[in-house]
Amino acid sequence: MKAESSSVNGALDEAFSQLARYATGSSRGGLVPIDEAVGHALDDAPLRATLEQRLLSQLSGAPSVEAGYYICDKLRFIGSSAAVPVLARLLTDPALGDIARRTLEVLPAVEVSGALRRALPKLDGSSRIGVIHALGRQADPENVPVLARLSKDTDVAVAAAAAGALGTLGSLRAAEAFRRLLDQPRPELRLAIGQAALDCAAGLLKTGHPSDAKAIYRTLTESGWPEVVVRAARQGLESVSS
Amino acid sequence: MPRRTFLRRGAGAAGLVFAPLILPATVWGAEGPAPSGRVNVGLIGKGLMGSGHLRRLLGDPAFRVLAVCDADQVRLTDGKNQVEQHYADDTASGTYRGCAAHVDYRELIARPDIDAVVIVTPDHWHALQAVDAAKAGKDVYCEKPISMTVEEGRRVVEYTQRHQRVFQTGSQYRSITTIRQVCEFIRAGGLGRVKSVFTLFNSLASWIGGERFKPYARIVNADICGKSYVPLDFALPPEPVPEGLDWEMWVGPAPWRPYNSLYHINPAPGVVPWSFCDAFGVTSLTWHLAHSADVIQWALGMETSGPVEILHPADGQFPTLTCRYADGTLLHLVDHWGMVKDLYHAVPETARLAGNFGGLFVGERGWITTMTTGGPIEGGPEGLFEDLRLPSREVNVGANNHHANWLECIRTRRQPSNHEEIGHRSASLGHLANIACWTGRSLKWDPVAETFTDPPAANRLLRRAMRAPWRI
Repeated sequence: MKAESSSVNGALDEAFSQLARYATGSSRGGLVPIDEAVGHALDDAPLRATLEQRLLSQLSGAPSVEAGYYICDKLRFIGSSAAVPVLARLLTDPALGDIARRTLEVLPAVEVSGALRRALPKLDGSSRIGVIHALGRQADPENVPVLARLSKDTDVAVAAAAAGALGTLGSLRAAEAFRRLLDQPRPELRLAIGQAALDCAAGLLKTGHPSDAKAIYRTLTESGWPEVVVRAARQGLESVSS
Repeated sequence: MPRRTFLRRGAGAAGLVFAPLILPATVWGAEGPAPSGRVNVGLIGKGLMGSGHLRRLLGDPAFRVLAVCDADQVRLTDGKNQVEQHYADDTASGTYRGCAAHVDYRELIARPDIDAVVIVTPDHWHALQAVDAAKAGKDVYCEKPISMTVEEGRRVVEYTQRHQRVFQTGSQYRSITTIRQVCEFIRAGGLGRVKSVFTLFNSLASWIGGERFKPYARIVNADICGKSYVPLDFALPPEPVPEGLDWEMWVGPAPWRPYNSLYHINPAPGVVPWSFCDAFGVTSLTWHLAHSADVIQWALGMETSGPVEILHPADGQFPTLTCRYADGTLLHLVDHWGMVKDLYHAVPETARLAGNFGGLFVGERGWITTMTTGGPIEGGPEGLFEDLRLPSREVNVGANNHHANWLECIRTRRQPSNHEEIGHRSASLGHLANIACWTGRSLKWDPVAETFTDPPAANRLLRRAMRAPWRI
């Protein structure tokens, strides 16, 4: 048993040493012991912590793009609060920023939200949009004022993404933000805001707030909203009433 | 890949995608097809499978193909020409120039003259395009698997229903007359209580051990990685992007990978070249399991539900990955049909067992197959077939009404035979199997809440984030 365990550890050490050199054209087979260990670590807290530390240590050390992507994918399985600062530092990295944000977005750690908000001012273009979307995936009430402010941004893409993220949040506080957004929306954002408000109403229904959902649906059935939004809102109203 | 190479890519073609398309509200119009009853369709994806769909659509006067979309200009032009050539034959002048060509699907779904779309893109696009099409008020036919994760599939269901769209999952095997009859027979209790079902679930071995991968043998390590049942990412070298291919758009919401022809080209009759790669596909689920799961869960009456346990062979209960349904029925996933006889001893040695896209059912009264592509339906004892009264045991792939059912439902606004919830649950079965393989352990699943109850930590594998700026 001892010999078997030491051979597993030996294979894992060798795999981590291959990961340190992993780059275009590298053999994938050498990483399989890490794949297996990460899978097994899902409900083994001590193993999870050890593996996470080893992965984070390599991620902090300027890995190749391929190694960075591989590590982030493994952190998707086992990453914890400990991974947040390392991933957050990468958000501004042109090569690894997107995969770092994707990993953070699904990480079950309360620290993610704050890290994303702090990164926002440093980002632009697609990276900024990605972080705005990610904020919508964190059930954190502090994201609402940030997203509400961004939903009024002069950059249409930013404003649309922020409205979308508010919709994804689907909370009572997000609904409050929509009450203001739905009042005289910018014409170029009507569709994005209308669809986002439908998302918010659906979220409210899921969390047991039918009257708040109904209020949104009612507003969206008024004239001026795109036909697809009006139809969905009518359908929503019917389902709440039935 | 050196970071400098990565940055060069980012500064180039990426710009096209980074500005999200905000569609004018006025383009999103009225409900359903034109009063003529003809359905105006847009085809999204004109690869090998897309070509098959295009032929089917062009051959049916009830459809009119108004636009084609593909990230590959060569395939796009070919599709547009094919459509225009076909319709030109119906005009007095012998010419027709009415098919639009789009590289970006968002332009196609923004067209008010299109009623419905057929989505035949790589797997990583399916859910996003289906949701966007539903939000644009289009009815949808979507190739399987309809999702890359359980969460994506649930979104497809929610948006389809929110916008009251008609959604058909592209698992046409259930619509083959013979298969339908056998499934209905099993569902109605013709086999008595079904005890076990068998279907194929394959590792990467034959895929990455194939001829196409020979130049990359050192990278893919077929002897080691071939044992994996889940897709893997390989550090494949970047190759020059073929002229006319918008690779940035092809990759879309998936994690970035530099172009390599292994993802994009699989010479005929090969399909789904991307399926081995974790960024773009889901191995067996892409290859055949989405079809098999569809047929099996339908016959079991579980088509809008799923298993309650996924039992990993490492736990020793069964020699291969096995799904247990709430009523105790076991679905064994096997590498090849020989295992049913040699490992499980479930049917007589004389059973031929061949084909794919279905399963072998063993019940109190006997056993029967629902596979296509492997010859006639098999079963025993012979008395079963007297009750079943099949006009023929042959399985004729062409004799299916899958598109016709979609068309009829677009007109009647009823749910098609393989609607969104069914497509989602079929895909989910494959996702659950893959998660069990990733974690190397058995899992307990609540098919109503769609969450793992044991271990709860596995729930984090039910979703993935998309590459910016894409999102559902």
